[in-house]
Amino acid sequence: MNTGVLIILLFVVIAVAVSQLGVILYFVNFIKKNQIPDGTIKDAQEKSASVIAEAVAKSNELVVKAQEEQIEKVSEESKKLDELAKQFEQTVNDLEAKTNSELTGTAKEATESLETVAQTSQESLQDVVQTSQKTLETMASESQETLKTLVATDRKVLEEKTDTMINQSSQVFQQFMTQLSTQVREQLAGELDTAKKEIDIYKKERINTINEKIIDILEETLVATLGKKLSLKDEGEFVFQALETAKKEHVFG
Amino acid sequence: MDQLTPFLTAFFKTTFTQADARRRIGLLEQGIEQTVYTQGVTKTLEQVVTELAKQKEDAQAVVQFLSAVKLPSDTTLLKKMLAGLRDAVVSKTAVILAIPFEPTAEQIVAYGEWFRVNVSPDVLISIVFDASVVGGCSITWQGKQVTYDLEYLIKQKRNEIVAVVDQFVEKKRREKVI
Repeated sequence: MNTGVLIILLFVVIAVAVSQLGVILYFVNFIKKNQIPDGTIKDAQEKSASVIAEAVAKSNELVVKAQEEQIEKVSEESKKLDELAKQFEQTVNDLEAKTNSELTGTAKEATESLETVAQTSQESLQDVVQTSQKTLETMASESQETLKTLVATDRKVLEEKTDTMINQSSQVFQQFMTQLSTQVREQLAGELDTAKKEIDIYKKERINTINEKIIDILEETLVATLGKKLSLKDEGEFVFQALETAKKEHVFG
Repeated sequence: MDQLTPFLTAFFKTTFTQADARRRIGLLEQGIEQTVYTQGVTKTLEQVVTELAKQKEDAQAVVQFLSAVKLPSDTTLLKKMLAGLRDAVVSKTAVILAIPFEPTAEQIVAYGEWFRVNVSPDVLISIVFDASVVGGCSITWQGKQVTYDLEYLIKQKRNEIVAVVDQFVEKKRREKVI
């Protein structure tokens, strides 16, 4: 028997006992409150006692009957529960078996699928790799071609630009050389002029020096010769001439 | 000063150089000392001056001066006149005339008169000898000194001389080339 069913039966028994005890207590209390004279009371007590006894007997019968019914019900329920348990266990076992078989099948399928997928993936990958390789080769080839074209174009452009630059540089260099030669010519002309001027100045200074020297020599000669040869009268006349010159030049104010 | 003016005029009429003026004033002072301030002298002032003078030009100049002026009889006034005459001569600035020869008395008078006519009526000259001033003279007056001699003339004629020299050199060069 199941534990749950026993617990339910125990509760039922306890409930019945408590209800009988309650009925007894009620009657005792009722008797106390409604005390009747001794004779009456005695009769009543006897009657009541018999009634109670009958009631108790009947209640016991009812309880027993109820207990039996309950036990029977419980037994039936227990049987049903056992059956249910068995069914459940069976179902579970069935399910387990089914699940196991399904899982096994699924795993097998999955493995197969995985293998298939792997194989497919490998094949796809190989395809992709091959395709990519081909694409890359094609691209490389195209790139090489493009590069060749570009290099050829660039070379042409470079050659053109180089020619242009060389032409420009040549022109600039020619201009520079022209300017330089002009500048050099002008500078040389300037320096030549300066040199000529300096030579002229030097020449003039030199001539002046020579003239001064000539005058000095002349003066020295004249002083040396005339100084001795001049008479007192001549000297006196020269003094008067000098005084007249001084007067003309306003030496005396 | 007004009393002194006639004396100065008469003095400068015969004296033209500063040296002559100082010497002649000294001669006059000496003569007055030996006549006016000395008792028992029988000679005249002119005679004493002529005796004292070492140069006849000095004696003649002083005698001429004495004949041109009347000396004061008062000795104090006479002293005052002599002192004034000396101060006027000493304080007077002279024109310095440098010449390369020893001038004669006539030449000195001639130069002195020239200066009196052309510079100032009472100017004195101071003649100094300078052999470097050939063919002219050097004049110093009021802090200014000028020389007009042969060197000055040559410098004045410099361009003409240079032109002549250049012509001469050019002529010689052409002759050499030919």
